[in-house]
Amino acid sequence: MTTPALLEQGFWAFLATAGFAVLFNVPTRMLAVCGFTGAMGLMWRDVLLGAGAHPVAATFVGSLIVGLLGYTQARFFHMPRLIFTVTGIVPMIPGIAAFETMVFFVRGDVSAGVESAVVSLLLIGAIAFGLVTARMVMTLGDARSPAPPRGIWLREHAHRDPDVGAS
Amino acid sequence: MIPAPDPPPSQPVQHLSREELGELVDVVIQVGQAMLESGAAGFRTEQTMAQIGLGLGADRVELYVTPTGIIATAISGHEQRTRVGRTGALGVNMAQTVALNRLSRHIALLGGTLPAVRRHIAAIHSAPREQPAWVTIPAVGIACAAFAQILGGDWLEFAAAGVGAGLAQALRLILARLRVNAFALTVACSFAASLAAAALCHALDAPQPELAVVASVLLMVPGVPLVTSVIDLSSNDLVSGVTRGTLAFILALSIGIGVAMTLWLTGLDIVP
Repeated sequence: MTTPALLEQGFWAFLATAGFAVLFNVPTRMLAVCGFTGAMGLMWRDVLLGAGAHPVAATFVGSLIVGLLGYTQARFFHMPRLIFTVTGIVPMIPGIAAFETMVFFVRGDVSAGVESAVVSLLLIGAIAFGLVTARMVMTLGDARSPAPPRGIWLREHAHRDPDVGAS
Repeated sequence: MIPAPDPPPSQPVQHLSREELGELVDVVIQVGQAMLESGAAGFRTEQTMAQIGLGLGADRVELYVTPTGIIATAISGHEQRTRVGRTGALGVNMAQTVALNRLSRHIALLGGTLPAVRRHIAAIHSAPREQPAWVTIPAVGIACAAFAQILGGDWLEFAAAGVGAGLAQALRLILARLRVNAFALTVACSFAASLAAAALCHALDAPQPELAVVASVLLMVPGVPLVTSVIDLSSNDLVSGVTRGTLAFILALSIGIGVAMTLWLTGLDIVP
């Protein structure tokens, strides 16, 4: 992929992510940050696709980048990580594949429909596992990361807020 | 950042009265409902609730959080109170998540009084959206139109997708105010968006109408429940994960129904 084309994709991804951030009621001063995250994720994916990577692998890496950026930004801006990651993956959502699935089913072409359904599920899975992997990488060896026993919270847990980022 | 005060180690622990504890559980449940309704994952909801409960003086908080309901118990001394709360429609409101998270950190570090926290939560609840409707509608339109470009369309598809998505967002705001069921709302908005985009593509003679139709309904895609579902599953919260996954699936199906009606109406045969 040529550099101008890549930058153009990044620009559109920035607009798309920032627009979705408005829809999700993200605090106004974080809109540009969300847009940047989305653009980076999509541009990494495009670079890998251009280099001949499998779409699922490329999407996984793009979403991993979004997750890692989300961690950094959550620490830097003191905001929950959720607002950067959930908006950042928006440009990679497999809209076309999901759409084709439905059109094929409406047409009665079940086998083609199942095929594109599997493709879109794999891509969504790649997005989700990219984010999960980012969390695993960032909390590796962090002594504070094992959460207090789920469901039961005692006094000594009160002052221990592991990180700013929300999952 | 607020510097953390030194913990008071020698101070005798003051137990809450039965009435105070009841009110504390009530506040904790309110926080949990607000977190879930604004799209937070199960674990973060639980953590926020616990920080507020403990910060307000409970010795022990026991929680069971699912996307549709919360069971919370607070214990102080020999007293304990339990409440159950149901949640309303699950939406997305990042500003509310941020504000509640910040409130819980303040209370965990500095403590607080029940009336003040109650007031604070009411203020967070009634805070207006970050952007008014006249900004949100064009912003969503441009976002979806940008998708038409990302997917490989051109300016004609860009325009069609933008108009369709903006129309759908306006319709969504109206229907949400009328308290229409979320699934019916999704069907209606996807139908309106895709029909407008398809019609405009036809009028402008755009070469790739399918891109415009896809991009125009992207604003309805349940991205937040989808991602939160996997996050819940990955933190072993199977009930929340499956619940949210099902919600996302039904919403996606609703989009499909809306678009299918458009395809049937316009007779577009738009897959290559």
